[in-house]
Amino acid sequence: MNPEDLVKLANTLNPDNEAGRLNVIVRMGAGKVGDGLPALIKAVEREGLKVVWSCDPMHGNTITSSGYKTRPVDAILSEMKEFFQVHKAEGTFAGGVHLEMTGKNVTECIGGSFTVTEADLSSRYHTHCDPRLNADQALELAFLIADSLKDAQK
Amino acid sequence: MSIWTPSSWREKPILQQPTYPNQDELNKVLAELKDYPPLVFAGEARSLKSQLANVVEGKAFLLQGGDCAESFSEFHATSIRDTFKAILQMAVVLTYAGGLPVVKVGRVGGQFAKPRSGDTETKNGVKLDSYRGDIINGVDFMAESRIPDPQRMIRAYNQSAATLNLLRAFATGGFADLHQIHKWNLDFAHKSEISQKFEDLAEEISKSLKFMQACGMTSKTHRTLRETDFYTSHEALLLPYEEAFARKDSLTGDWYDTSAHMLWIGDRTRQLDGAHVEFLRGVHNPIGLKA
Repeated sequence: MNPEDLVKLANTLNPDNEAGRLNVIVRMGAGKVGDGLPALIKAVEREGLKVVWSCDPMHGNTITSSGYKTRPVDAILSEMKEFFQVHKAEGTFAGGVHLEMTGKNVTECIGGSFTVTEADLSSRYHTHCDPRLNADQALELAFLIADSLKDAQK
Repeated sequence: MSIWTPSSWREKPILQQPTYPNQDELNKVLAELKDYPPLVFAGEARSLKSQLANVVEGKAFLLQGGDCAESFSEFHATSIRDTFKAILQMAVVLTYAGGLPVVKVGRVGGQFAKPRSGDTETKNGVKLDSYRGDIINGVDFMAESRIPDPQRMIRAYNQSAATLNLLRAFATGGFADLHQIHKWNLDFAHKSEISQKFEDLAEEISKSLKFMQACGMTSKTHRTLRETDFYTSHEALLLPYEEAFARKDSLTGDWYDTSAHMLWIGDRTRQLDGAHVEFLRGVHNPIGLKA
């Protein structure tokens, strides 16, 4: 999305600039957040718009492997880190995360500390649409976010 | 800007919608849905909004998660419970290790409709209409399954109501009590490094709870130790369904989309002059915008 479109959409959806009304969910893909996000943040700051900045590290990181749609956990963790880094550099608050996840022990995303490999994808691949983080992978991401939150408060 | 009504989106260009073969049946179903009770109360959407205002100020963190898409076939208490547990575990990690209160929002209780990259899909030379989510048509690769069926909206409503009922029970009925933290660890056959890391954190929290108990703060005296706030959200994609749940709040006179606490606009339907932006600009829920 270009910054001017974001400003126009924010003004249309939140004309009174009410805090808590608008949540901008950024989905750029690992390696692209540093290029794309600063311009969005600068535009929002310039206009004095009150938004929640949330990171969707899922949708920009979908690949096809062995015939399955999957997402590498490493890319998901990277995008999350980049999101925090950009906000720290801009002096803004990385406010949230938006995830496709399940509490079940599925094997849809590859990687993570209990490593799901490409060969595992077929064993418990249940999703109706896009690959979800399993409970362990989600928990691993939570620990990473917690570290980044602590770091951001320094 | 023109005047907003729950149906003003119908005057705008719209993407990602099914074409229902039988308009009379569609209208009958929508009329029925309009008479059904709302799934959430406007006051809850306002509470979520005020918690999200804390996030804007850097005083809280938003955790939003759940299935990519809910389905009629995967509708079980255990999957609802396990996802709820996983979110609770993540929230505890973020609160304890990250030092901020966490606003918990599920992609649940209505996350049925999916935007698609094409109107059709082809397998082995056979071309069918795309699967658009269980609220619209069936996933099976058969021509008959792919015909949009309005009755599916009724089923999605009923499943959402039952899901919300269970989530509310979990959130306030004792399951989410921090004293139960050891029981949230999901019991898979393997004990991973990460679940051990959570176990260690849970142990520290238990010690803190014992200390607090000695100081007179228990689940009985403090609601926040015993209960949690949990909100629902989904992509507001299928606008006829969403319109049926646009209700005027009796307390404020404002309109809310009472199918969930929070709704979001997807990447493919966020056109400034489009129907989805038109519908969501008029309801007072917290709104997500994919960017």
